[in-house]
Amino acid sequence: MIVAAPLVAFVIILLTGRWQWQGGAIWTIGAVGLSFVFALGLLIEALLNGAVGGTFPAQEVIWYRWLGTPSSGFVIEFGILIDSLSVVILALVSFLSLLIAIYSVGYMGHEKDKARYYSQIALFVSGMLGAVAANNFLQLLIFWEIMGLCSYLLIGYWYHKPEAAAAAKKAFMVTRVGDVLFLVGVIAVFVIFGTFNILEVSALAPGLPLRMTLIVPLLFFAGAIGKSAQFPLHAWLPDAMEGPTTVSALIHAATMVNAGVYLAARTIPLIVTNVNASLFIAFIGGFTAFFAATMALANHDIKRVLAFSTISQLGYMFLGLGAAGYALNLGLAGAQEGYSAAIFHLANHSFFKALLFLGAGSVIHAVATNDMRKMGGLHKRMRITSLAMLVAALSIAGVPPLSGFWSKEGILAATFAASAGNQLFFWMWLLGILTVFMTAFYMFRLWFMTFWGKPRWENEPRESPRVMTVPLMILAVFAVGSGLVIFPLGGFGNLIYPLVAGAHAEFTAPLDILIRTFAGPNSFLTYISILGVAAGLGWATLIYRMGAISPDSLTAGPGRRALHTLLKRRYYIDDAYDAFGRRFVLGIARLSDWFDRNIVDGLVNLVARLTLWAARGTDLVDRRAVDGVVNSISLRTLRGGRTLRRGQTGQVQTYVAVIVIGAAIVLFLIQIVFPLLGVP
Amino acid sequence: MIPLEWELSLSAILFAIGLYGILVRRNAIIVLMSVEIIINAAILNFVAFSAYTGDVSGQVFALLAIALAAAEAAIGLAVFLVLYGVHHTVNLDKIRILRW
Amino acid sequence: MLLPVIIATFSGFLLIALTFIVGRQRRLADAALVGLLIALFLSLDMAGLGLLERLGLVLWQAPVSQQLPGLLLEVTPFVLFFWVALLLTGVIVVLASRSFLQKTDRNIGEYYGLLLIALVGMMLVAASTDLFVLYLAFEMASLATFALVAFRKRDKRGTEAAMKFFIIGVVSSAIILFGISLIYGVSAHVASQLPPQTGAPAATDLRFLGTTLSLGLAQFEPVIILAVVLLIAGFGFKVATVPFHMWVPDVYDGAPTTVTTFLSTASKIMGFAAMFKIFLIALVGTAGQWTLALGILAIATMTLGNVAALPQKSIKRMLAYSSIAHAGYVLIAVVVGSHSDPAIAAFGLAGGLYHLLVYVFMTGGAFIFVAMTATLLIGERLDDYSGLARRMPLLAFAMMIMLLSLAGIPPLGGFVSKFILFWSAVQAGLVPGSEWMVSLAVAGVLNSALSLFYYARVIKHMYILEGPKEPVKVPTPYSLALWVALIGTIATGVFAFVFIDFVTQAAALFFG
Repeated sequence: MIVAAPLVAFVIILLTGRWQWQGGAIWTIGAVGLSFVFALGLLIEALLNGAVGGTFPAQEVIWYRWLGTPSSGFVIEFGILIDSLSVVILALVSFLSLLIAIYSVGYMGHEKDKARYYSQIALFVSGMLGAVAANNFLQLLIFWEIMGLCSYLLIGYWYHKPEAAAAAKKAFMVTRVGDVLFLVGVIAVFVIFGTFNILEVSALAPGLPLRMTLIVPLLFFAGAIGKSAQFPLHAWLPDAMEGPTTVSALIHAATMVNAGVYLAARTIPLIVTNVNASLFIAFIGGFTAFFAATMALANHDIKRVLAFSTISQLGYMFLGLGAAGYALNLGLAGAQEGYSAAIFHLANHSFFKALLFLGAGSVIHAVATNDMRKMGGLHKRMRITSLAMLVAALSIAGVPPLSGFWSKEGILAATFAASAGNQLFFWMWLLGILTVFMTAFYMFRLWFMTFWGKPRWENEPRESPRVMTVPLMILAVFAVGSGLVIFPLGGFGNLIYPLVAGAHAEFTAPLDILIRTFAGPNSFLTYISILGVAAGLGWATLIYRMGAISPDSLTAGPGRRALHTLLKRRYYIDDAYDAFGRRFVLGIARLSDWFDRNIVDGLVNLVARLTLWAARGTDLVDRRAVDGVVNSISLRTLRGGRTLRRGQTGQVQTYVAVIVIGAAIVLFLIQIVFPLLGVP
Repeated sequence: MIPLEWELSLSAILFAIGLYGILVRRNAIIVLMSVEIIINAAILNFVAFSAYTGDVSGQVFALLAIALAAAEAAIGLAVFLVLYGVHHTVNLDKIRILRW
Repeated sequence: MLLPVIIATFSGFLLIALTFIVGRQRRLADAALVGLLIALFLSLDMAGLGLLERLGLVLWQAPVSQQLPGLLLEVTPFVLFFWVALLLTGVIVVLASRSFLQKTDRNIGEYYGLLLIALVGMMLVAASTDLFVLYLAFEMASLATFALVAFRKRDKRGTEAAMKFFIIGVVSSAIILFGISLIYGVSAHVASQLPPQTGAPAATDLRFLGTTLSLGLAQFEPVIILAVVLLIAGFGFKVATVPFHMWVPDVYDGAPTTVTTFLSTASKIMGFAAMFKIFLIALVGTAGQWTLALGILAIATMTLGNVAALPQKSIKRMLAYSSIAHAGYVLIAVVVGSHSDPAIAAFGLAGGLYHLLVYVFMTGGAFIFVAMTATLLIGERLDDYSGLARRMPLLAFAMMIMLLSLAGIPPLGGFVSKFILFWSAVQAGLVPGSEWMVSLAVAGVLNSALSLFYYARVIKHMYILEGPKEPVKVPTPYSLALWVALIGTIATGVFAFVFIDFVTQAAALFFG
């Protein structure tokens, strides 16, 4: 039902949307709302059962048998899997989608062709929900691809803009790299275990053959990397900002990019089979968090800054998951914390990042540009948006007691704890702290540049309509409040932990959490990161609010300028990918063209020449046999004789000749080559 | 009785001649005739094997194959006739609108 | 048992006769359709529907599995599968032809007559138990299709395509004949050495050939190999494997599009029916000699087909190359079907059968769509398709589904069949001695990924790019044909188990 409602809306809008009010927005909103109601119901049930004592067992609902027969042991059954993890994400996704769909009514109000927009949004939501609720990897993959397709279509929504079309293609291609590896992983799992079912695979995971323990988790992780835009497949996300801002908010901040984290969280039983897989995941996460944050420092496009920030925050989640997997594998402390903190951060991040994007959308709506240099002084004009953005910025920077603080603390603490097992985690923790500092800096750079300082806009901006500001306010409440979930639920820890260890976590009293965070033996960590936040915030204020330090001084001097350019060009990774892509595709095209021209024609010319020789008699054969092979390739240019040009394609006998040559080659293979190679 | 090898050699030579004709000659009708030569090589094989092993079915099939060759020739000539009507030539080099 | 064949033959001749009575009328298509639908219904009934039996008309016990030794034919689930697939193709093509043939076209009665006769030939190929009968039926179908391609006598491209198709076709059939003569020689010689017994099968009986050829392998290996190569070349032409494929783009491009549809689906299905019968029954004893070569051809075929389809601007040509690629996928079934483990072999063959069935719907539908756009004067080139989704939303959606199925996107039929094919290759690869078969699956998966690119380009043109806006009116027969194809494409994917059960059973019985 959760999945089906948006799907039905998609079909309805696709067929009739053109003639409806707002392009059938009402269907999308209604259907997503319905999904949300159901998901919320499940969530409440899960909370009642799982979080405060007792357990919420995983439930499978089978729809129908798709392939195979029960007797053969080869069965693929479609259905949904409801457990605490999927329930949390289902509720989250449907709630955010609902808010964003409502917001779209205002934001997209004056667009043409809204039916396409709403139908694709509906399809996307059903894809996301379906992927999260899938009970087997195959189904997960199907919905995963639907998501990818919708993302492609929605990024390219303004297809008449060449950048948008290029960005859509890029997103499609880059995520495809991950998807193919993911597919290989799914097939590998099927080959090994003979089932796609997630529960069965999880149960069988400890029996994964040793030599596969590294490769299989990493194949799955590759899919997660592509979807969640982690290094080295991060390049598509900043470009994806060419789509409508609502799409960026929905897909590229709040929901789809989380699918990668969800996948990694879902496959944790596979991941923990190998220490190095967890280490790798944590490393990629930590590195990406840092790496993306540096790129966010030097960008002027408000949405790109947010995109880099998204990549960076997703990096945190992978760091947490990796640390959790590592700790779990070695039996260290911190496994529960890391895992639940990652999911907790996922939820919090969705709220405040959606808020940031919707706020940015509101600003863009008002000033009609993405360039922060053309904004400024908007605070007076757009008070609601500005305050909402402030809340989100504080939250993402990790200022206590807002939501971002709690989950980020959890991840960093888990990382630090894992360093007991491997020194590398200490360095990743350090990277995490540096990222905290940078996050605070670039978020407030963004906020000050947009809302304070001298007005630099051209037209008169006005506050957005209610349909847009109300979702902002709701999200702002969540950005503040969702962190408080940590007190009753231990930040999902009580809810989700059983998935990992099969045991129920002990209930942590709210006061203990506070004490642990601020006064426990490791509380110095908390203060270090708060210090980082304060430093970043302060520095940004100095530069962009007080004007005490000129922003230009940051780029003064050749060394700093070079660094700035490096960051602005995104470490040249995009350029490298583009160049590679272009070369590669062109190369294939050239190769086939060359093959066509030279080999096929050459062969044919050779045949033509052979017949010519026969016709001319033996005396010529003598003379030509020596240099004939050489000539036969360049013959056409040498002689230009019309009779010899019969080798062109389009001529029937060429085809017959190729048939004969082909048969001869097959004969040659069977009679001579295979025996030589020792093939039976 | 003629040794089987002789007949097989003859049929192989016929096969080669037919193939050569198909590949080299540019006139569609002569190409069709060359195809007939290959079919005749096969028919010769059938008859030879049939006589050599005493199995009758080969000869029956030889008769059927002859009929088949006639049918092919009929269709082929009809096609070429139409071709000539439209393109005013049956030279295979000259007829190539359809290509890459 | 042969009632469907008899009905198809009868309606074929009736149509030609009717031309003289009613003249050239579109209504002839309806007569052809009725004949085909009856034959289709009877075939389905024999295949396991059992409806007539329940109605009290006991002609046979469904599912039928019977030998007809006097006619050198058999009717088994395997055969019935091909009959159903072929007759379905016939239905789709006739429906589309009803609109495709213009008032100016002459000889409409002959067109349908030839179509039906070709179908009869194809059905007999599937049903034959003797190499000679198979060859004669094969030729019957081929000759009819030669004439069909030349149907538009005034069209320069059509006649050129007919000429090319004819020349390459007769050369291949001559080559096949030569190959058969060699096989006959070996078999007859070995049979004459065997102790004489009454009721011994003919030297060219397919199953008997399996015995004699493996007995004669040691003595006549070079001859058998030569014959096998000739057969590969000859049948490779029909199903368009590399390097015997070069006629395909030209002929598919030049022939009337409904005939192209017929060639790319029915003719190819027949080719594979013949290949399954000859390679997996008659030549299975010599499998060691040809599986690897055929495997290489399969990989080359799918790769070349997909790579060559990439730069095409003409949709018809693109689909032509795509159909070459799909022949490569089905060749996997021939290779895996020769595997020594009967379970794996049956699984691979089932995958091949399934792919052929899905192929009827998806490729047939796609070609019909092209025929429709040509009739409506929209054009057959990629650029002509821009913005088509607004002009005919429903049919463009159908086309999209079929293209996605061709690319193998779940949960459509193309995915299921490819999945079974590749999976069978993987299973075969797990058995020691045939590890290389895994490479077939790998190549297939990579190629499927590659193919998505050019299929998606068509979808992009239809859905994303701007084009002319005015809606077009699509003739009902086209819509009907496309709906049949669409429903088939989706049903074979979503209700896969129904079909899988049937093809697995057919494949298992095929190996006896």
